Amino acid sequence: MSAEKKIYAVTAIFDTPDAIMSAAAKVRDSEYSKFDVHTPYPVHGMDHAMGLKPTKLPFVTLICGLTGLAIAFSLQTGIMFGDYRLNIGGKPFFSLPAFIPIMFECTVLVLAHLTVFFMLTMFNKLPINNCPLHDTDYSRAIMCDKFGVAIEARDENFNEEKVKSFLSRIGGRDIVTIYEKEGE
Amino acid sequence: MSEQVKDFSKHIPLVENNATSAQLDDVIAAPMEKYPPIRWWICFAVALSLLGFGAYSLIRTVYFGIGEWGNNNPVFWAFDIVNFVFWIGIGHAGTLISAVLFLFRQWWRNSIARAAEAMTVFAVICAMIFPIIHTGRPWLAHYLLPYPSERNLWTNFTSPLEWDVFAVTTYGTVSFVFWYVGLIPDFGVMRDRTKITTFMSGVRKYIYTVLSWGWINSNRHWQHYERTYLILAGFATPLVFSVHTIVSFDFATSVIPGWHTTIFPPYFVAGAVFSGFAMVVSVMTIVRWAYHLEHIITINTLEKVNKILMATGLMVGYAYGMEFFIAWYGQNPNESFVFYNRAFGPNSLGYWTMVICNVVSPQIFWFRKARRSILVMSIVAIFVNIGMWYERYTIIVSSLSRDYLQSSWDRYEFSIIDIGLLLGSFGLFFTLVLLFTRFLPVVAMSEIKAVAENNQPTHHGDNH
Repeated sequence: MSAEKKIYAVTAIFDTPDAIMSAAAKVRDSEYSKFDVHTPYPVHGMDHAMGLKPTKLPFVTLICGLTGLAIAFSLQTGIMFGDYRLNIGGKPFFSLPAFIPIMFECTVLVLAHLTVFFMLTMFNKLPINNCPLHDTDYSRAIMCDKFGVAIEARDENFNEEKVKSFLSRIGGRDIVTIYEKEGE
Repeated sequence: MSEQVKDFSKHIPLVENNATSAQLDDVIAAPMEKYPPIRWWICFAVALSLLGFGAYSLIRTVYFGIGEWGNNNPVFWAFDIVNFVFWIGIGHAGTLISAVLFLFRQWWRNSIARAAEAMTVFAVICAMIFPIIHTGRPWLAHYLLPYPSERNLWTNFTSPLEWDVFAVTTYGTVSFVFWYVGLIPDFGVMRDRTKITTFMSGVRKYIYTVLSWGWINSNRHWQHYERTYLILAGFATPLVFSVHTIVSFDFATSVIPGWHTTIFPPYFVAGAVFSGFAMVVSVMTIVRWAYHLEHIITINTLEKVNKILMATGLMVGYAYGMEFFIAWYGQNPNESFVFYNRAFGPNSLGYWTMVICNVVSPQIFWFRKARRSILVMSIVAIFVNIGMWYERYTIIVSSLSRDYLQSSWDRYEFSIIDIGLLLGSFGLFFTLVLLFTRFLPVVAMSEIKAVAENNQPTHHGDNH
C-alpha cells in the first residue's frame, strides 16, 4: 500500500450479536461520531445501541399518501363532475362513495412506490456501487455471517493508529484499513 | 423482524439443525450457483410446452377474435373471468404471508414469504392477461386508463370494472415493489458471493451489483429499510383485502341472481386466501425437497400453513351454506332457483366438485398427522385448487346461463382454445416459478438469518 492512498475507514469484525451490541454502544459513547455498524440482518436494539434518532421516513410516506389521495379525488371529481358528465341510471355526478375505492388504491400506489424510492435515494443515499468497502474481506464477512464496525476517516478525531487500538480494545478482530478506490 | 421478543412459538426453532448463517447462505444460494439438475429441465420443458399451447390459443384469440371461445349469449363471461378471478386469488396468499403475518409477528413466515411473494407477482401477471384479452381488442387496452385523448372520452369511475383496473394495477406493482425491497439485501449477498472467474460470472456479478443498489448491510440503512418494510406491510394488508373485494364487486353490484349478494366481498377474500395457500403448499413442498431446504421450510411451518388452509376452507364452506340459507330465507324465487339450479341443474357436477374439494377435503387437517404429512397436504392442496377454480366457474357460468328470462337461457360449452388459455396460464406461472427458483434466492436470506437460533442478542441494549 502506497502512503499517498487516501484512507476511507478502519474496520473491525465481531463474531456474535452480543459482542457487536456492546461494541456499538462503546463506539457511540466514544469520541468518534462518523461510524457505522454492519450486520447481516437487522439486529434488535441496534438503533439504540448506535444512538440513532428515529427515522423520519413515515412523514415522507404521509405526504406521498396524501398526494395520491388528492390526485385520485381531483381526477375523479374533475372528470365525473366537470369534464365528462355521464348520466348512469340517474346516479349523482358527484358520488363520493363510488370514488373511494380508486382513492384508496391511488393512495397506496403513490405511497408505496415513493416511500421505497425515497428510502433508497434520500434516506440511504443509494446507489453506492463505488463504496470502498465492496469486494473486501470485510464486506464478504459482514454480508454473510459476521458483524462489523467501521470508523470513517472523515471523522474529525480520526487517527489511524488510535482508531486501531480503540477497536482492538473493544474486542474487535481482523482490524484493517480500507483505502479509497483509485481513480475515484 | 427486529421485535420478536414476545414470540409465543419460541420453543420451536424456526430453523432446524442449528444451521449457522454461513450454512444458510450456502444452501439458499446453491441453486443459483450450480447448473440446474435434469429434473429442473424436465419440469421446465413441461411448463414451456403448456405455455406454448397457451401462446397458440392466445394468437388464435387475437387473430380470429373471441369467437374462438365457448362464450355465447347469455354466457358472456366464462373461462376468461373465471381464470382472472382464480389467478388473482392465488396471488393473495403471498401478500397475506408477507404482510399480514409480518404485522402479526408470525416469524415462521420468513422462510416462505419470498417464494409466496414471487407467486403473487406471477399470479397477477397471469390474471392480467385475461381481462385484457376478453375485451376482444387487446391492442386497445389503454382505453381502460383515464388519459386525456383527442376523442375527449374518459372512463366511468362509478363502474366496479374501472375500480378493478386500479385495484389490480396497484396490487401488481406494489407486490412487485414489496418483493424487490425484500430482495435488495439478498442481491448484496449474492454480489459479494460471486467471484469473477468466467465471463458469465462477471455478467452475474454486474447484474447483482446493479440490482443491489450497492447494499452494504449498514445499520444506518437497515433502520430506514425496516421502517419501509413495516409501512409497506401495513398498506399491503388493506390493499390485499381491497383487491378481491373489488373483484367481487364486479359481481355483487350487478343484478344477476346469485351474484347480487352482500356476502361476496368477505367470501371472495376468504376463498382467495384459501386457494393461494393451497398453491403455496403445492410449490413449497416441491421446492423444499428439490433444493434441500427441509430444515428451513420446516414441517412446523407447513403445519401452520395447513391450519390457515383449513380455517379459510371453513369460512368458504360457511359462505356456501349461508348463500343457500339466504336464498331460502329471502324468498326471492329467482334467487332460490339459481341455488337449486347450481346444486341440481346441468352444472351440478362442477358444484359438487367444488363442495367436495373445498369443504370436505381440508377436514382431514383436523388430524395432526395429516397436517404434518407431505403427501396428504400435497393432495389436499391440489384438490383445493381444483375446487376453487370450479367455485368461480359455478358462480359465473351457472348464474349467467339461467337468469331471469327463460327465453334467453343457454348452455355453456367451452372450446379447446379455452382449455389452451387455462393450461397456458399454468404454463406461464410455473415457467416463471422455475426461473425464479433458478435465478433468485427462494428464501429471504437476511430474514431467515434474523430468526435463526442464537442470531439475536441475548440482551436488547439498555432500553429494555
